[in-house]
Amino acid sequence: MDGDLRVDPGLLRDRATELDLVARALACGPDDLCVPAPDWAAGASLAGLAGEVSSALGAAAARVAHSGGLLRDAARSYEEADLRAAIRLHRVG
Amino acid sequence: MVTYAQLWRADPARWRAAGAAWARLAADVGRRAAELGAVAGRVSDGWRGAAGSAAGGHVRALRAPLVAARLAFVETDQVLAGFASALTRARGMLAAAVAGAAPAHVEIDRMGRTAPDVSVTGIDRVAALHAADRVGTEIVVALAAATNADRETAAALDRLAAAAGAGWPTAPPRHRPAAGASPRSVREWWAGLTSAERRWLLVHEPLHVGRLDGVPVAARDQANRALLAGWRADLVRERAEAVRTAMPRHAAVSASLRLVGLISGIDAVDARLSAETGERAYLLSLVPEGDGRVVLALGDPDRADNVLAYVPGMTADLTAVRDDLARTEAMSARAATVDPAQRTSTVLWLDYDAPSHLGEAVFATRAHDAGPGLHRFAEGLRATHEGPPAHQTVLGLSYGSLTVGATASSTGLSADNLIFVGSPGVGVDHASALGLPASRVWSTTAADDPIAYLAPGWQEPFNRLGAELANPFRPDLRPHPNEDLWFGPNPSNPDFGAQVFTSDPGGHSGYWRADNDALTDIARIALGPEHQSQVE
Repeated sequence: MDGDLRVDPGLLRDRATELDLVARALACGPDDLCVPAPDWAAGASLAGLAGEVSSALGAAAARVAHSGGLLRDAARSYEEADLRAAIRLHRVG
Repeated sequence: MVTYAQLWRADPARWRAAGAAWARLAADVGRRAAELGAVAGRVSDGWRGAAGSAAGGHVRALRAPLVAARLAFVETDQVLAGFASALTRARGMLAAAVAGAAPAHVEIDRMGRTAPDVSVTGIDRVAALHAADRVGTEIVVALAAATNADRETAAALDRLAAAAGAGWPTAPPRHRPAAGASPRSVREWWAGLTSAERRWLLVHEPLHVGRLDGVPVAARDQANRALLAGWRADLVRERAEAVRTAMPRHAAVSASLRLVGLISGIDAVDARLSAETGERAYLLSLVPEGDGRVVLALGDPDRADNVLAYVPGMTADLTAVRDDLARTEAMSARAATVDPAQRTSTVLWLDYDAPSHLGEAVFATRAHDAGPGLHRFAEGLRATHEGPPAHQTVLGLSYGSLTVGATASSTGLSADNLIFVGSPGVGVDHASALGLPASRVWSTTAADDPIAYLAPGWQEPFNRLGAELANPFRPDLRPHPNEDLWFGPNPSNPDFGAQVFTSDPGGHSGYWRADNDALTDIARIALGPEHQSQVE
């Protein structure tokens, strides 16, 4: 801890939204990556590659979206901690 | 085995278009990686503390696999463009074989089998049988070329799929070449790396790898393409800053003009890199500093039968790269037209500080300064070439011919042929001083090219005296092409010892016009001895 703790939950949610947008863009792959050429070995291999890449980008998108979720969780946790502390202090009076 | 009908049906343009789609995906994924970097930087705006720092690092770490994916997508484009080129050549070979069948009274059936044409009477049957064998062999060779290309392409794509399935793993290299190592040593080092180590270098050190002679062209292309958008963004920022802060006002305008020129040059390079027609472009180097430098190949030099490197002259820089790209394109297209069966890569080598105006061009300093770089570049092309050595030609235009000549005569230049175009002299007195047989030094200067009248000033009184002595009453004082030019004897003068070929009139910049025979002759020289006998 460096002692400098400042959190703006609203800004964290903004970053989470930005990560959601990146995740969405990654998940939407183009559909013109293959060549319909069944009699060429290269055609089948290209289709195989496109399938692997689609999976890999999907996984990357999921990781990015998960990171956005972590930021949102953090924002909510800070707000809840703040609320709990406020309630405790009110009770103490 | 690819069949006769299958090769006829093949559509190289579709493979090229698919490659372009992968290149667009690469650019798109690169943008997403950049966005993640920006988000990581902004996380700290709203979150100070240990957890905030960890969050920034976490988001930043999401970039690495995307950067690696981007490189793999560029490689996929390279593979598919290479396959499209191979199919184009195989189809060209097939078309040539078929075109030669009818005049030789040879029939070809739907399976590609050949036989003498029995419907024609009175022909030499033995000759027709031989012709049928010859055409049949040519068809088989074309089909074999397509089959090999298909097999190699499928294997390369399978390797890329396996890497994608593994998440494009990276690993730091276990060892590195010594600083200043020769291109051949760099090539050996690169060949000994695992694919994960190469990927790590391309992801983490693209600036270093992208300019390192001895690293294969395909890898340099991947590295440099990844840097292009960042270079452009830096220049846009620098321009905004220059305009905002520079004083006095004219300094701001000057800086802004230079930066706008560099941005425009990068845009021209980017447009050619994205083009779906012509040979695929490979970015071997780009330096967005000073007036800017660039090395760009049309067609992969590492896999080409012939490599033609073009060294431009005065006023050449990144800001004016469109003209030199157009010339490079013209030579590439003409070589493909003259011999479609050969793979020819045409390279724009603008990796030196060419003179910006006559005040700089009257000195040979810049040509000499360029020598070590040009020498090393040519050595690098030799080192990274796959298979039998390519037929390598270096062409210098105008001041660029001095650069080529000075390099060849001092450090040596790894080339099978040198071509000088519109030369002001190449720094030596005779072709034999250039380190290769004079029969492989070529030169042309158009009759109306003013460069041929650029004699050193001290000679003018002697020229005048000579004219007056020859005819005291009516001395011929019209300008004549000089034997001695600014940087030595005119290489287009027969006494220099080079092979001189003609150019149609077009001044100093007309050599690359489509209707100038010089353009065809340049292509023939680059295509090797088989075609050089037709140079006029």
